[in-house]
Amino acid sequence: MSASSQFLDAARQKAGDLRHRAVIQKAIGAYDAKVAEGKARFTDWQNARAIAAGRKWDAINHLDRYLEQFERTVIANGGQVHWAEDSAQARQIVLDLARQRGVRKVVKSKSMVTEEIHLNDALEGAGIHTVETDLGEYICQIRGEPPYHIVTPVMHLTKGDIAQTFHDKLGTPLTDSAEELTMIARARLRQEFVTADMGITGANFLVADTGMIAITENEGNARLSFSLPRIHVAITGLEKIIPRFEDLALLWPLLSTSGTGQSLTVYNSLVSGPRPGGEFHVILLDNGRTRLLADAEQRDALHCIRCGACLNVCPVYKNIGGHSYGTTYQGPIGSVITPHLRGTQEWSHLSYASSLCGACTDVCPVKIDLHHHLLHNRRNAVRQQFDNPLQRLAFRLWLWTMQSPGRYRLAGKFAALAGHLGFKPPRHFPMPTGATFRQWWAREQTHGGPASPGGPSVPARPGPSTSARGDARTTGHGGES
Amino acid sequence: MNPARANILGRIRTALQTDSAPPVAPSASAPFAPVTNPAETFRAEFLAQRGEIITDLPAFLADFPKVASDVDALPGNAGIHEADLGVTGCECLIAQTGTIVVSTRAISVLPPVHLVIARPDQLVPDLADAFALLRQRYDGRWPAALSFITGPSRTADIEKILVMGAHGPKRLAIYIQ
Repeated sequence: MSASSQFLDAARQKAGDLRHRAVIQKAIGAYDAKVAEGKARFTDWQNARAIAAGRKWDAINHLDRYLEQFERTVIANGGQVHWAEDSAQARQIVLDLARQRGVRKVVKSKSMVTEEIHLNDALEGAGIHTVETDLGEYICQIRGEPPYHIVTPVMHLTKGDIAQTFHDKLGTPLTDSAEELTMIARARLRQEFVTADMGITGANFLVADTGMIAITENEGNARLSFSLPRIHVAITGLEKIIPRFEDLALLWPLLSTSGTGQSLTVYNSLVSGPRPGGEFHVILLDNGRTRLLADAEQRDALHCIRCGACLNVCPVYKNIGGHSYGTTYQGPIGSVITPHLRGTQEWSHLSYASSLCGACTDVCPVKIDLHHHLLHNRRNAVRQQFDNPLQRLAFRLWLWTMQSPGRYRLAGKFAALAGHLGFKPPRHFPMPTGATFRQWWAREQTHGGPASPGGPSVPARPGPSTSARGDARTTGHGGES
Repeated sequence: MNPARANILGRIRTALQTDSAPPVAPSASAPFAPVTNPAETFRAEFLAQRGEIITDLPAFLADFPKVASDVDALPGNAGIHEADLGVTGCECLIAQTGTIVVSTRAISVLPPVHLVIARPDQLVPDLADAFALLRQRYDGRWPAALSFITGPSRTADIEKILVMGAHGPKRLAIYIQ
């Protein structure tokens, strides 16, 4: 089955799942309230976005220079830098490091890039025990599910679901307490941290001028992952670069506010070297990012700091949920970048997973023009002839109809006829009126008063009496003069 | 030599031959209001993040039989793996967000409680001041890890319900000398 039909099937099923809807609305409602508080701490949120967009624009538009600088500074600090063109190369680098050093256990902190390259399967396949340590990712791992959301991996699950998972997989007693569930994970993962040989983390930012990776987290599992095991490997997309150390004075609060509404996330760490007696490796991953870079029109999509705000605000995401997308990165940003990272032919259908309402663009803390890029992706797919032939025919027909008043009039009559015949659209669209505007107007001119509607449930005019059935005459709404 | 580096940098340079329009320049308006009373702001923000401000140090320490410490004045008696309390100094305190900056690793994250011993002169008004201070102190010879700590460890991964002490310390305390 194609990615497109899988998407449609999954989306159709989730959109009708009322339990899913209730769980997501509760989580996103809590998020919205916190973010409103967080934004109130800025004196000028819009200008903060503009400053941040400028910093990321500088970074991305001088990417070669800043990456070379980053490489130099990391090496000077005592770390090592590896370059990976694709997932296979990145996995191979990690496997080689692990094998050469006799690594038997890996602890991982949350990293979407390691999801992107399917690292866990590769490590497990090589006989290396791999444990996710972020609470949400740990739950995903024991359920055998991908993350539902780039920031909140198990947003779709209730306490009850998680208690049941722990009961089934770990044999712990059922509980209704989020705290007890967290403590079960804490106790179990402690043992993993102290016995692991390698810690794998992602990176939220790569600081070019000081040779540091920046990691933002609330739990402390990333700090344990880079502090306890002897070898620390950070795997990251090469677009995470920022020019200067001082840029974080704005980017950290911006990420925290947009991600969770916190003024600052609990732990913001900067790693520039190994722990005493240890090793520090950074893997810079391309995996299609330079293809996106080559598209100057959409280059700003590489500004993304993965805060998840565009997911949380998206009416489509809230209805179809994170898993329906079938991608590592969900929601509007995922729909924009996935065709570039994984191929337009297979993934351009995601460009239509949007109402083009622009809410994503409004909330993006680094001002990515998300909804226009979705439109650009639609255009690109048509140019490359990856669109559906039926859809192409429909748009041609529509264009042909709209180009002539006569054809437009005829089309209006067809719509009215559909109303007469009781045509019922699959969703709650307003019913076709049964009479066209032109017919109404002609009658209006003849009688000089409000028209009698030509069919059932006719909105007489713009105005409050849209449910009126023929009573427009008596209520007098409609602005006749 | 692995060709990946040259290939990636080559693709980047080719891609950047086409320019993209810079975003609209920001105005001079500052994103945050200046912090006028750092001591007061630090206190309020640190408490809001569920930090504890210790005034009676001996009474606080009496609750912890096993202490790991890297503060000379307060020698510990346990290793970090078995300690009930980790005691550290700090690089600076940030009033704007109630944040403590440390350059220690496991000792400030592994024990279930973390106590920071600080001096009033370590307080700076905002994040930008903290970055300027660290740059001045360490440029070119950075500590291997710096952590900006804002409250005790927490998670809201389950139904957005706040739970303290996810993996790091459940309690974060500060004693300002």
